[in-house]
Amino acid sequence: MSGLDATERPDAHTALVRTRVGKAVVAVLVIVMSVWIVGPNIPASPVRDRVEVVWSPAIKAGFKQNWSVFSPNPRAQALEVVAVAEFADGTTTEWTLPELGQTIGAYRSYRWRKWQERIRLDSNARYWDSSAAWIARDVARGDELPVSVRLIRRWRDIKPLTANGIVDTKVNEFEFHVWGRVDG
Amino acid sequence: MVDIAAPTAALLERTRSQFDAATHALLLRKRPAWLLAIMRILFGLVVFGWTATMAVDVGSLLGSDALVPLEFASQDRWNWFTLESTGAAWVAIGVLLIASVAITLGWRPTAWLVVTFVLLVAVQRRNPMILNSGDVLLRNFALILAFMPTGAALSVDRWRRHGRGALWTAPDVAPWGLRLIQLQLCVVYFFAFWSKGGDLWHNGTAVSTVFRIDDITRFGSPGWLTTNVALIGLFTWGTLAIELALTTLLWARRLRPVLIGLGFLLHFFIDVFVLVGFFGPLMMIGLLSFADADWLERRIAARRATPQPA
Repeated sequence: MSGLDATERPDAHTALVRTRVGKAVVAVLVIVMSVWIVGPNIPASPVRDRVEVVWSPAIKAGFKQNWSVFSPNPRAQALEVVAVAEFADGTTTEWTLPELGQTIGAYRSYRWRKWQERIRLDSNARYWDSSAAWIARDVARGDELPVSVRLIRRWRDIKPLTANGIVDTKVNEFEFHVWGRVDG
Repeated sequence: MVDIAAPTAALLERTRSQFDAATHALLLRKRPAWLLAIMRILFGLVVFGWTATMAVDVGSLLGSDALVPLEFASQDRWNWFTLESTGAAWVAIGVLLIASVAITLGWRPTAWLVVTFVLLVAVQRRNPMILNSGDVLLRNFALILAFMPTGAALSVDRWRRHGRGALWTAPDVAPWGLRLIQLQLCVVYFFAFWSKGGDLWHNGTAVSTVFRIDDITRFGSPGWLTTNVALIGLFTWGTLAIELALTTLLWARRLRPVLIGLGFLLHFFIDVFVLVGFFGPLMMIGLLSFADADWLERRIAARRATPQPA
C-alpha cells in the first residue's frame, strides 16, 4: 500500500474483484476483450468465417484491428496527386497538397497524405468528383470557380536497393478524372 | 492393479492451485497506480494533440463541403452518432477537446474515456479516407483505458476525495485492465511482424524502399544511409527482430527494461523518418504499461524521503 493509509476506500475497478461475482464479471470481461483484440487479426480462412461472429460486434462498434504496416512489402512507388484547374479566361493553376511543415505540421499532413494515397486508386473512383469539386472551391478566385479541374496522379517506381546502389526511375503521369463546372 | 486415482487427483489439485496463483498474480495482485496515472496523462495529451490538429482542418476534412462528402461517410456500421454537418463536427471536436483535458487532469477519466471512444469513432467514420493505424489505435486505447482505474493517482478525483497531500501518493490497484492494453500492444507488434512476409523484408532492403517513398517521409533520410547495404540490412532485420521480441520477450521481467528501450528507439526512428501521425506516441504509451510499477513506487518513495534543502 502506497496510498494515504490502509483504510482508503479502493477504486471501483479494484473493489470489483473483492467479491466472487465481481471476479466472475472481470473474468468474462477479460476473456471477451481478449477475443475482440486477437480474433479480428486471424488470417482469412474457412474457420475464421465460421467464428468471426464472435468479434463482429466489436468491429461494428468501432473497435477495429489491422496492423499490417509496410507489408508484405513497402509500397514500391512514390506518388503525388495534383489538380490542374482551368478558368474561363484560359488561365490555369496547379493545386497540390498543403505544405504543413515537418514538426507540428506532420501531425496534420499525415491525413492529407493518406487521402492522396487512396484517392488515386481506381477502386476509389466514387470519391473523385467530390474531391475535384472541393479543389475547385479551394482554388476559386473569389466567387469565380474554375471551369474544369483535372485530377492527375504522378508516380515514380522505387527499385529495390542492390549492392550497386539504387536506380533512378522516371516520373510517370496520368490524368484520371476531369471535373466540369455545371452552370445553372 | 495400480491405483492412479489418488495421484491424478493430487496432480489436478496442484495444477488448479498453480493456475489460481498465476491468475491471481496476473489479474488481481495489486500494484501502485502510478503507471496508470502516467499513461492516462500522456494519453490525454495525445487526444488533445489529435483533436487540435483535426480542428484546424474541420472544414476541409469533416464539414458539409469536405473533400469526402457526407454520403460517402462510412455507414456500413452501427451509427450511434453521425456527424451530418459542419456544426456537428465542431461539436464533436469541442467535446473531444474537453474530454482530453478532463482525462489529462484526471476528472472522471473513465466516463470521459468512453465519451472519447464514441466521438473518435464518429469523427473517424465521417472521413475514412484519411485514417492510419495510429487513429485506430487511439480509439482502441480509449476504450481499453476505460477498464482501468486511471484516476486513482495524480488526478483531480484523488485531490477532491483526499486533499492536496494525496496527490503525491498512489493507492494500490488491481491490474486486470492493464493486461488488456499489454495484449493489444503485443498483438500490434506480432501482426506487424507476421504480415511482413515480402521479399524485401527477407533480403534486408525494405527500409531503403521505405526511406524513398517521398510522399510519406517526414525528415528525409540522407542518401548515404538509404544506399548503405549494411546499415539498411541492420535496420530492416532489426525492425523484424524488435517487433518479434516485443511480442514475446516483453513478458520476461528481466528483459523488459532493455526491450522497452528498444521499442522507444524503434518508434523514435520511425517518427523521425516516416509520417505516421500519432502511432509512435501511442505505442510508447503502450510500452509504458510494461514498466515496473513497484520500482517506480520505490523511486518516488525514496525521493520523498530525501530531505529537501531549506
